[in-house]
Amino acid sequence: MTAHAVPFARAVRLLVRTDLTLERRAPQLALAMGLFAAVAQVVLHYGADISQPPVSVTVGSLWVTLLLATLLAVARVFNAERDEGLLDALVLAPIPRTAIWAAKAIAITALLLLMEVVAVPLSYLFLPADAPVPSFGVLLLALLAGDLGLAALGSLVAAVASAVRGREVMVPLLYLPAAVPLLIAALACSVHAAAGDSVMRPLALVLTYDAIVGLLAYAVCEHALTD
Amino acid sequence: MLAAGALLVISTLLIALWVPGDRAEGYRQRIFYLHVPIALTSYLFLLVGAFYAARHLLRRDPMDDLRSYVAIHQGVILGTLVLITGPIWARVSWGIWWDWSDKQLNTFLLVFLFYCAYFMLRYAVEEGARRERFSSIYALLGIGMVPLSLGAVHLAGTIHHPTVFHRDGPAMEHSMFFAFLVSWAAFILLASALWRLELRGKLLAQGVQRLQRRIRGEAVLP
Repeated sequence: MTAHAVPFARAVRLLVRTDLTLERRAPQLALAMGLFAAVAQVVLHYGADISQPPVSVTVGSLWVTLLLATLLAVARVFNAERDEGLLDALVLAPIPRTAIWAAKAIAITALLLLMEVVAVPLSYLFLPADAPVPSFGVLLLALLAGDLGLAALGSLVAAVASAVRGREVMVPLLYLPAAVPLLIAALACSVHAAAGDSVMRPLALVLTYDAIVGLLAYAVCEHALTD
Repeated sequence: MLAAGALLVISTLLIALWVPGDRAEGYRQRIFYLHVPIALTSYLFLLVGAFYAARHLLRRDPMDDLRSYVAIHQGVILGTLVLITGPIWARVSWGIWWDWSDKQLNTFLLVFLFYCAYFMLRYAVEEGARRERFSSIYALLGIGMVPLSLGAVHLAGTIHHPTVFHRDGPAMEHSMFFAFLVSWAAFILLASALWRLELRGKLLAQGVQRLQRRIRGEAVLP
C-alpha cells in the first residue's frame, strides 16, 4: 500500500468541496437536472396516456426520470478536469486515486438529492387521489440507497467515458445496462411499499447492488484514472 | 476442433433419436438440449473473460486482455444464439415470443446488452494500454451484473421458465440428463476450439501489422 501525502478522507473532502463550490457558484448542472426531471415526468405521463395511472406507472416514471437525469451528471462530472487538463494534475497529486472516484460519486449523490427535491413532490402531485402511495419514509430510504449505487457506478463510468471518443454517446450505452438491475429493485421497493407489502427483499437487493458495484468500482477505479 | 465436431454429431444424434420425449411438451422440448447448454457455455465464457480481465489489471499483460476480449466475443456470439433459441422455445411452449415475467430470459437479455456495450467501448478507444485497461474494467464489472440482474429480474417476474435444476439434483430422467451433459460438453469444446482459433487469428493479424510497420520503416516494439 502506497503512503500518500494527503490521506484518503481529507482528499475526498477537499475534492467534494471543490466540486460543490463550483456548482454553487454556477449551478448549471443542478438546475439542468431539476428542469429535466420536471419535463421528463410530464413527457412520461403524457406518453403513457393513462388518465388514472396505476401507482407502478407513476413511481416507475419517477425512477426512470431519476435514472435519465443521472446521465446528465455522469456525462458532465469529469468534463472540467478532462477539458482543462486538471485530471493529469489530480493523478499526479499525492492523493489516492480512489479518492477522485469517491469524491465524484459523492458529488453525483449530492446532485441527485438536489434533483429529487423537485422530482419527488412532482411525482406525488401526479398520483391519482385514490391511489395507494408508497410511504414517504420508505421512498426516501429507497431513494437514498438507490442514489448511492447510481453514483458509485456513475463515477466509474464517467471516468472511463470521459477519456473515449464520442463520450456523449458512450455514457448512456455504458451506464444504462449496468443500472437496470438497480432500477428494477428500487422500483420494486417503492411499489411493494405502496401495496403495503414488505420491502425487505427489494431493499436488500438495492443495498447488495450498492455494495457489489461500490466495491468493484473502488477496486478498479485506479486503472481508469491512470492517465 | 475435430473432437468438438465429433461430439456435436454424437450429441445431435442422441437428441434427435435416443433421448425420450418430454411428457408435457413432446418432441419440441428437445430445443432444451441446445438452448440451456448454449446459455451455460455463454455464461462460462463471460466468466473466463472476467477472469482474464482481472489478471490483466493485476499483471498488465496485453495477452490477458486479448484472451479476455476473445472469450467475451465467444460469450456474446453464444448469447445471440440463446436469444434466438429462447423466443423459439417460448413460442412453441407458451404461444408468445417473449415473456417479460420470465426471469432467465430477461436476466440473459440484461447481461447480453451489457456485454454489447463492452464492444462499443472497446472500439471507441485507440488501440493500446488505455483500451486494454478500460475493456478489463468493464468486463470485470460485467461479472458483478450477472447475480444482480438475476436477483432483480427474480423480484420483478414470476417463474414461468421450466426449472430443471433443483438443489436435490436435476428434475429429469437419467438418459435426458446424460444427453444434456453430452450436449453441454460439445458446446464447451466447440467454443474453446473457436476461442483458440480466434486468438491465433488475432495474434497472426498483429504479427502482420508489425511486419507492415517494419517494412514502412516505423519503430516496432518487440
